[in-house]
Amino acid sequence: MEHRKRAMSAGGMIAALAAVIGAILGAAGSAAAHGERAQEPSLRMLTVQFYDTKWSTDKVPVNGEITVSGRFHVMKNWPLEIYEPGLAYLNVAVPGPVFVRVASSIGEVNGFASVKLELGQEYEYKLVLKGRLPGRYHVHPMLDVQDVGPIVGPGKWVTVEAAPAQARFVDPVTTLTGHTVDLASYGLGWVIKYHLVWLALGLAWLVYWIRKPMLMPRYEAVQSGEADQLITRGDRLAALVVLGASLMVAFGGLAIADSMFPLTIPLQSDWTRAKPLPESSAEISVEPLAATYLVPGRSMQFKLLVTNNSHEAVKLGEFTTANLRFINSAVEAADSAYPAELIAPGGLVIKAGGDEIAPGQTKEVYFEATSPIWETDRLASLVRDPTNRVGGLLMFYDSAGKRSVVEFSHEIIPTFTGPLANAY
Amino acid sequence: MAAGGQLPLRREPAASTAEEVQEIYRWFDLVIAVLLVFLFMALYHIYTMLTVGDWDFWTDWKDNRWWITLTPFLEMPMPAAALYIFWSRFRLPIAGTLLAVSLVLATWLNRYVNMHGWAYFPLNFVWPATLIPCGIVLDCTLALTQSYLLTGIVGGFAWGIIFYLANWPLITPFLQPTDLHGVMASLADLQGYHYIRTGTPEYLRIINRGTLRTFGQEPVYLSLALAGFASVLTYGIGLFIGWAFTKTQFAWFKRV
Repeated sequence: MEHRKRAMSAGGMIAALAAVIGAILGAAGSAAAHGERAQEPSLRMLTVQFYDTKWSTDKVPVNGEITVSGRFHVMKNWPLEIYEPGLAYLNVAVPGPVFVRVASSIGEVNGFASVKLELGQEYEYKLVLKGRLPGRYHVHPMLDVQDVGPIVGPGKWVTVEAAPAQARFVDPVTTLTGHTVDLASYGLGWVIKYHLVWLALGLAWLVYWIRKPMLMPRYEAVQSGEADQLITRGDRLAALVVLGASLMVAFGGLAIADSMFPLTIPLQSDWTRAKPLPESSAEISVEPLAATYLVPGRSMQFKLLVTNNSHEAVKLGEFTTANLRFINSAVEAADSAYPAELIAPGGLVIKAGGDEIAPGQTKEVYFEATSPIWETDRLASLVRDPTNRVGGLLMFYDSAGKRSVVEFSHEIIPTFTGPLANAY
Repeated sequence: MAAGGQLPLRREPAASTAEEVQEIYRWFDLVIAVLLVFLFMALYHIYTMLTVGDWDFWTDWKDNRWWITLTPFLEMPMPAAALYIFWSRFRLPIAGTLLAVSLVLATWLNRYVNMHGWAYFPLNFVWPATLIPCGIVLDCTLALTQSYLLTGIVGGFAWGIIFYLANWPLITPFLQPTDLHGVMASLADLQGYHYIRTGTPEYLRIINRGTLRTFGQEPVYLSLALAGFASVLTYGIGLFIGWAFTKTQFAWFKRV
């Protein structure tokens, strides 16, 4: 009776465990993105700013290509509590190799290897990807920065379609010796065969010993002092044969590989420096005076001292940070191909200081960037972070459409009562 | 079942003849052998992932300095510990091969199910190295010399050397040069570039770094010598762990 109760209890527990695991697995959905909103706001707003990001298409067949290009700005006022960028590698945030990266460049340098970046500089980048596995994926440019981690650019949904005629993915590469191989499967047959040869040899050695009585009799023999009789002349001969066979396979394999592939090179690791874009912001300078986040209104509010040293009057057209864009609709139209969820509907509203800054003029400008996007993109959580600074890029335009990109960053104080304008 | 829920006591021995005893021993051997293979698959595989890690995961980490140096000597302690236990208690020179075979089975299983099936990497990019030749050399040296010391010096050193000899043919096809838009890269480099790893940026690769570059084109011989000597050292560490296990059965650990 007791046994039966225990058995029923154990069976019940197993059933309950299976039900819990089944419920968890059943409730799990597909991952929609890459945790880009999980990163600390200060890391996203104060390190690298992506802008002008473009995706050549949002639908490609298997083996079809898509180009992701744009620029990024490495903040001059890089937070001191975050390691300064050493090497950086232009990557793609996608769910694994669902695309294949066939080309990339960063600051006119081939993106194959890592590059050194300079603070306060802007770089152009380009990624050419080829569809590999059918599906719908969120595709972000991403900059891996040594000692800092991945900094993810804006993402857009891209569909890889399995067109019947092109469904099989191929990755042809021509070597410098003139052979064209399919990198998707090249060499696998050789690797498996070679592994099987060694596995056969290893199993032969094990089977030689396992076919004899192994554990109990041998243990008793060792305990009774007869250990030396357990290794026979035949065993030593077998060891000699297997050892000789192993050496023959090892040296033979090496010789065969050398004859099949006489020209090989070591793995390549050629780190270099990326070439930044010419500086465009020297004519406009910005000194931040105050910044606050109005919690009830979900509004980031800034007071800046802007000096226009150019020969043309300029207007503030856009504030961008952490891939979000706040556009002054009076100056600039939103790019329709840019992901809509990353453009704040309320845009950028200039509340004081006028819309235009004349040549040679220094002017206090007060603007607001109001949107629930601060909450949904988890940037408002900076009020609970150890680093309370906000930063981003300001884009000024003259009447001819010439753009000046200026970075700024400033401490921020959240307010739970009223806008900064009240104190203005 | 007897009355009162008690199991009946068996009065007769399980085996009454020598043949029956031998048959029980054989079944015992087989059961233990199967269990050991699964145990070693799990233990040695986890150990390998934690120590050798990326050098074994990807073709574009399998270089002619770090991979061929680190892999053999980092992989040595566990087989050496098992070697001591198997030899001192059973006079069985199979520990090196048994662990190596278990590891190969476990790594292929991992690469196929996990890295290929779940993470979409092509298998020709994530194949594992093989330690079976190293295990065979170690076991055969022990069987021939019947000496821990000679096995350590000769077999341990050979373990470090033969890893390169046996594994270099695997990577050779992937070291052919290509032109990647004006930069020369091997096919292995190209695999790392093509098949996107969001968590393994290029600068993390520890390949071909260090002062061995001063030896021009032939750093491999120095790497091999270092791998051999270091394997002898880690053989000693592993042997000590095996000795400690058999002497104390880690009683201190149980107390903790």
